[in-house]
Amino acid sequence: MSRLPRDHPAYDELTLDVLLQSARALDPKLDELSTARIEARLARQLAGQRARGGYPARWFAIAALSVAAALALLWLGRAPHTPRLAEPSRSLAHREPRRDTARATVSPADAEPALLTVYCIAGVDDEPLRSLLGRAVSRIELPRAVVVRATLGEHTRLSLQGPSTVRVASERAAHGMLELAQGRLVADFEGDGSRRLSVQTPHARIDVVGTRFAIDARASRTVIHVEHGTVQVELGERSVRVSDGETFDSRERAVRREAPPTTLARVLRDHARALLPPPAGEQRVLRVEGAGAGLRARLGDALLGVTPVVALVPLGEVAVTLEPGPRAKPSSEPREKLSASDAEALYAAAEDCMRLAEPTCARARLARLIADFGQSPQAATARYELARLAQDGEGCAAAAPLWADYLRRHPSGQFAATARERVARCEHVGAPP
Amino acid sequence: MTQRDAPARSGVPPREPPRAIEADDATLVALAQRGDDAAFRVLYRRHAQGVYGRLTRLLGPRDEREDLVQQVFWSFFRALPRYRGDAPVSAFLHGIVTRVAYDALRKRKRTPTAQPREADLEQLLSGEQSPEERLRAREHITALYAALDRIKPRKRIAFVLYAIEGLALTEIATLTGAEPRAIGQRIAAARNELERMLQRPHGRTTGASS
Repeated sequence: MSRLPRDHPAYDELTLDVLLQSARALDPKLDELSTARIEARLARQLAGQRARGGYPARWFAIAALSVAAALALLWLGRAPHTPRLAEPSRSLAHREPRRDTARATVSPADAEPALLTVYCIAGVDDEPLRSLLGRAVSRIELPRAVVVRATLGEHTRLSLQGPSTVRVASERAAHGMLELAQGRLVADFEGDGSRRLSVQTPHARIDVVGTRFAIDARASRTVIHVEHGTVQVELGERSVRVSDGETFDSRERAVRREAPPTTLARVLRDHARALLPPPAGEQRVLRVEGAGAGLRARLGDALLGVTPVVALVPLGEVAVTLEPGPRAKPSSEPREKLSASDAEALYAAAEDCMRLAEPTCARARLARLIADFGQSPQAATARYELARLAQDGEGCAAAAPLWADYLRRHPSGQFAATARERVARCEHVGAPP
Repeated sequence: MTQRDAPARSGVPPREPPRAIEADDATLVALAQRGDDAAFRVLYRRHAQGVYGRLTRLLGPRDEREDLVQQVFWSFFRALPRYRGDAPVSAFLHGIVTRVAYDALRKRKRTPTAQPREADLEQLLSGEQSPEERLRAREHITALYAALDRIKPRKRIAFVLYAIEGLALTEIATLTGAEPRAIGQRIAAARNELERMLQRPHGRTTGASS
């Protein structure tokens, strides 16, 4: 048995009693996001279990067969050469949680106001994270291989690539401030004399007046590349200006005129290719190549450049026009196979959330249903429910575009009369429905 | 999909009232056994904090706890057909927690996991403590779980359930499936090992009893 290191800080008063007392005072709390995340994973497991038709007797049989097969292979001495089985086609009903998204955490802005609005997420399969679309958050912590696009006010558009952590330190329109503890960030900032943006990394503070730039913040150093414009980098008492096409490395403390490092080049390219959301109140038409079963994937390609897996757009912000065209470049990741029964399952899951009075959960599922099964019969009801939830939660301002969207798509739908009545009430000043 | 009728007054389709939220555990279990996933999720929401708390005290502040909470409830779901209601749901769940924690500790012996992060430690502490108290508490928790990591899982679980959770020997015996006498021996052995580990470098031992 080994002892604790001699320099352990607790040696000064280390007794088992004292340590146990501290342990008894622990107050572990599973936060709301983690609770929801686990619940979502369990729901998927439950759905998968139901879809496979029941309880574990079959599992035991499969497990027993697997053990027998493994023993047989071991006996034959072929275990190290066991051929890898092809991955079974995945469906929504029995999708396993991805390991790299298991630790994704996003803290909604509960107490402090913030302007960082998440509007597009790629590479993430995590329901709580996706449910933040269109919502303001004060801090985003992303796992590996996840890309988030967000806006900070009306003048800053960001791409953040995981693993990364960014926090809004100041939301003032005149001087926004972000803290990038780690990760890669690309920002477009439309500045003028009256507006400034600063990004604080562990090694430097970057003051921006108006530019597109990329930052790679790591534990050991911070690398900044400016695509156009100029930024001012503060390193303790020293100050450096980095301009068009220059790269600054905090470890070398030098500015060089060179292409961005490969770690940043791809993020910059994707950011430039991504369709950025229009300013508030402006309607923009997005033309997406191709239509039909692969719509979601192609929509993701158009919105996110080259790394999409999942892309959802807050309703009412972007109008989509479909036109026939050549096939879009397929994503490198396999697409999920989705079926009509998944639409029903998704709607049932959303209904569960509504029954449990959990609008955030319900909205996420309804949005997913619309994105994945936009032409299904369930999608019409989902659009209606989304509008109703927005009306209940945020009032006319949030609900009006959703009612309009429902009426545009389903002018003689089951809920068209109700939707028209709601729109009319919203338009009547001082008479909220 | 359910087609809803629009009521005359508000124009909004009627919403079913939240169901099962107010029901007791036995009712929820009965519903879940008949295939009602919503009832199972209410059970999850009701007991998740308790499961997470016990897992934390058994394993220390580690990343894996969230996955293990999921594992516990998945095992619970799979065990539903065997649950006859002769013990409260929480007791049944804590039996599963103990098994899951034991497996995780054994696995950890084979593949050591990373040390707890500051943020994980910080999350465990009460918000009412001063910064100095929090610092001290963090050091204590780190030291205690570093020492616990060095004793065998069987002894560790018995000791934590007894000395931190405050369970009686018979309760621990029920949870672990061992004899109360064996549990007593494990606790004594764990205490001896921990006290030896916490000896000061010059050989003087600190008094410890709990």
